[in-house]
Amino acid sequence: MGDRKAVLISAVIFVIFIALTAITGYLQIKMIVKNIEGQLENEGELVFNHLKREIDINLEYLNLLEEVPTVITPKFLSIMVYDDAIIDELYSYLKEIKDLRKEEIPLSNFIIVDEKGEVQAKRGEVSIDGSQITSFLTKKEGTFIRLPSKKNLLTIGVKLNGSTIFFSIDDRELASLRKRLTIKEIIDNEGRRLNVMGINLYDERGAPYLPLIARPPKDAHTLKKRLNSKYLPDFTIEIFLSKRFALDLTKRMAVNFVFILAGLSLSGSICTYIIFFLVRRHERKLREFEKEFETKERLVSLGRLASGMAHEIKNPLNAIGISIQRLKREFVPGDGKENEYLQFIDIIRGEISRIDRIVEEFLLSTKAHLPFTVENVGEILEEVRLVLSEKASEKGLSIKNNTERQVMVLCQRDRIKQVFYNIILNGIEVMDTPGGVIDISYAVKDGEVHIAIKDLGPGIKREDIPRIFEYYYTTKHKGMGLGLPISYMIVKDHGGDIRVHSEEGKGSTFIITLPIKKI
Amino acid sequence: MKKVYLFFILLTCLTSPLLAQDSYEDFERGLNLSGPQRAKIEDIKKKYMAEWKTINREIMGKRMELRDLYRNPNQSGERIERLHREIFELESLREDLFGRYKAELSKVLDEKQKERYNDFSNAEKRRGMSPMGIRRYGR
Repeated sequence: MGDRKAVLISAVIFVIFIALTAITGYLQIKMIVKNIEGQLENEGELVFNHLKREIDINLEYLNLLEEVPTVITPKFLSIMVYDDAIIDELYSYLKEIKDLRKEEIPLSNFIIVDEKGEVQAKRGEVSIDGSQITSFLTKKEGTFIRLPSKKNLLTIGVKLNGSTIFFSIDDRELASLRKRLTIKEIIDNEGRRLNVMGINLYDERGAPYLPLIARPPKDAHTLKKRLNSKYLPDFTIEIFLSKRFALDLTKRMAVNFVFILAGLSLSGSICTYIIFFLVRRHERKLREFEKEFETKERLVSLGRLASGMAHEIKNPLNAIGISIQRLKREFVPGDGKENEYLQFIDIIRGEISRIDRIVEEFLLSTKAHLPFTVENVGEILEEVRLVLSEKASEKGLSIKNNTERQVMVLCQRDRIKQVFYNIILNGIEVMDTPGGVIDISYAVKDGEVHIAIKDLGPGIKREDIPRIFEYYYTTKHKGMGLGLPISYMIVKDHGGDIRVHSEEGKGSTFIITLPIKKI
Repeated sequence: MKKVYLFFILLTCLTSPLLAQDSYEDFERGLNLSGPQRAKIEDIKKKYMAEWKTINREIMGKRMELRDLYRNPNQSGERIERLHREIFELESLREDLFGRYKAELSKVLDEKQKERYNDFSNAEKRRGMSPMGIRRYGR
């Protein structure tokens, strides 16, 4: 339950953190987009002002041209030679029209004839007679030109896809075309020069003044406002500025942000998991420590009690022992029950010895105050081996000590000796196969000596392993359940540890870890 | 971001000289022509204007003819060459006329007025604002 709560709290905090980061990032991107749009607006204003001024200056010249100013400047001279450009532009426009229709022709006076000279469409008056038309149609030339004179207007004929158009232009229409073309040129050139996507100009009625040169592009920022020009008073201009840069920037920022968010989410998840894992491990260790501490406390208090009791028990035991010896030696009955008597005496002596040994163990296990000395582990193990070899050989077993290398540890010699004694003795007691070997070895690693005592007994059941160091827990018929908990307590007092690897039917290995004394 | 900065720098560079230039009206007003000066200049203008218009129309006719030739697949190289030469001669004549006009004009203007005229003419050229006078034949 606690774990779930911890996970939930971590997850909620993490989600809040990610949500806040996402909101901050989103607002940040929005702010940048707004700034970019503001910048585009300014850019549009600059382009607008520039175009307005350019149109004003050029139209001023055109207006003055009709009256011819007092002083002729080079500019006026160039405007005067501009008419051929206007006619050329008109020619290009007419050539682009696939099907010549009356309403598409931006002229006041024109006539369209077919190859035979039959009139197909007409508007206004064209100062050309039938004979001139017929004459031109029979010729190879593609263009008919009659320059203006006192009697006639400028008249031009152009052959276009099977039809021929003749048009006359007076000074007024020429001026209008000149104006239109001048503005078109300004818009084309300046638009290109200032890297604008497109510019449209609308007249006072809102109709396109020029053919719509730019449809609203997809990724464009549009600035539409009244031109307020002195010469085009109620005209409106529409400027399309590329938003591609802004969109690219926004897209890149969004992608980067998503990556950052993903990175944060991933690292956050990993961190949360690590923290959760560490907390769990810490809690587990804490629980283990508490349990160990509790066991130790229990053992210590038990030890104190045992110590007191041991002293109390030992004295009567001595008296009983001496009395038993006297009974055996001096008070043997003579009524044919001697043997039975002596048998009982031996049983009593044996049990007294057992009680004495238990008391001794208790006394030793609680002697935490004994002085620490630097000892060679191999020597202690060899001593234990010698003590227990006879017991092992009684069952046809042997103990093999492979600890030749000298490893020094700071320890309470007698207590550590008891640990080894208990574990090896356990091994002897659980092994029933003659010829079996109890193997003792050790390895040094990371400033610790790992002593392995391996028996070939029946092994410990998996479910029993966690309980073997518990007080009074035993699987042996005659076991007291004291040896391993006492050994465990002694090893822990030395800053070490005992672990067991056991496989049912194959034996067990006890690994005692002790810190090495550096000399 | 570099593009944006570059755009603004260019725009500033391009628009600054424009903003500094007077309009034609301001220029003419700034000349402060006296009555007799104005009358003399009008006479000079009339003298040249008719000739300019005639030359311009001739040039226009020849250019259209030239354009027609260029669009004709069976064009005559000799004729095109001749037309080019004629247009060039007419343009030179027009330039000469303008040179003569300026010479006569400078006799009427005082030093300050001449300086103003030259400055304004140079500003017009420097601006390069005009789409006018673009040669369109032979495209």
